[in-house]
Amino acid sequence: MKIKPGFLIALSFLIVVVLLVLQFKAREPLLREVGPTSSSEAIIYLRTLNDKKESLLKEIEKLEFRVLELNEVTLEKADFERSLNQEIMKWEALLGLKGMTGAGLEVTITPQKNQVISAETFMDLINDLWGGGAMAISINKNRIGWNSYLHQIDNQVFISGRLIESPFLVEVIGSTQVLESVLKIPGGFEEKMLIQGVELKITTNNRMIISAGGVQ
Amino acid sequence: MKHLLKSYILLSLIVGLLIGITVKNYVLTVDLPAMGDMDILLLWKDTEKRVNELEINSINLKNNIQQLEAEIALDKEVLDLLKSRDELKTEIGLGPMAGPGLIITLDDSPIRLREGIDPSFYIIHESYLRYLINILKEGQAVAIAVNSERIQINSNISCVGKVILVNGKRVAPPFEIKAIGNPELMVKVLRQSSFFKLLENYRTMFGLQVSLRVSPYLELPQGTGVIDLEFFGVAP
Repeated sequence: MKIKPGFLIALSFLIVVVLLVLQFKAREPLLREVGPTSSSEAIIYLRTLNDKKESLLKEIEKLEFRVLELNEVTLEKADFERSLNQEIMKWEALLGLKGMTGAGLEVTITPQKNQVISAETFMDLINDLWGGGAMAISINKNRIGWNSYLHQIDNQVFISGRLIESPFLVEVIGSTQVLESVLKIPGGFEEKMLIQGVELKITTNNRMIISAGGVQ
Repeated sequence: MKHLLKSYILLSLIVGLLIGITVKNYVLTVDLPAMGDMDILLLWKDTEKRVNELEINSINLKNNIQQLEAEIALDKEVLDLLKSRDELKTEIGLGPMAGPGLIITLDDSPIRLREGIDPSFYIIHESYLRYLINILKEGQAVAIAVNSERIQINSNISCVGKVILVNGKRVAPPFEIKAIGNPELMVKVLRQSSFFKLLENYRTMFGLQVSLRVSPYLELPQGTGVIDLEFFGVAP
């Protein structure tokens, strides 16, 4: 049976119309309640919420186990003290009062001569890394604690009053896969640096140690 | 015939492009059970509600654990350890805190956009919150919260479209940044900072709403962000 060219063209136009309708439907703004947000942005937010939900569920599971333990009073005083001491050391490591070990990334940022990496750029990088689940961050061996702050005087950047100079070595402990994807996301830190002509080297290290202190 | 061939090539290109975009949209939504906007909105609302419930559940369990531990720990040594632990957690942002401080309120401009001016000057961006928090830390703030979301050591402030997320939770304008610490010192550092001066200029030029007030007593909630202590080790 011979198919007429007219039929083929009509069929093709039908497919185009269907696809166009699908496109516009997918791009409709969400209801007023959530603001002028596109579907894809809503989906990204949903994913963030789902991640948070998953981590909360895991945390609740652990907390419920702890309540059970405590209710049964199975913990001897010595065990209780030992577990408390271990927990305290972990919180201290997280605050930067103690060193931390774990897998992580080493990010070396080398700007060109006379090129300035601003304090805001470092702030954005630190924010991205915390968002990627970082547990500890240091820049040129200056540990980032809760109260660490960055500021810039002319072309010089300081972390809590300490000058940091190029090349900048950012060390971060956390999931190497997630952290790397956060840095390499389109429009993310890597892309921004490359556009500016800054040399960026990201390497993974499975046995990283980030020292205590530096800045607290 | 040549004309027909050209039409086919053009059609194939358009169809290919549209299929590509559709597949991209599909990939974006592939792990979600619904595709329609209304379904996404409902799922969003449900998940947000569930996350809030889980956060309350988590806080209740933590309080319960604290109470049980206090009941078990009758001797001073253990009580001291519990106190140290709770102080560290408060410093990280996981415990509530109260004290004197200041409140910075930020809101988008109510002024109608002027033609030819970038509309982004009229709105509060997530980076503004980050930069102000950085300045407050320079002013030795000991605890900070944005619209009752406590800033923990690992807090992340990001933006998805027009939605600002703090610790993964949606916050909407007006933004209230509450900081506990020495109010005089924090105000001084803020006033000296070039970023706060820039915001004040934006207030004059574009109508951004920026205000600062000292408070003798502020109460900040505990953080709800999850920190997994099993993920790392303590260096010897």
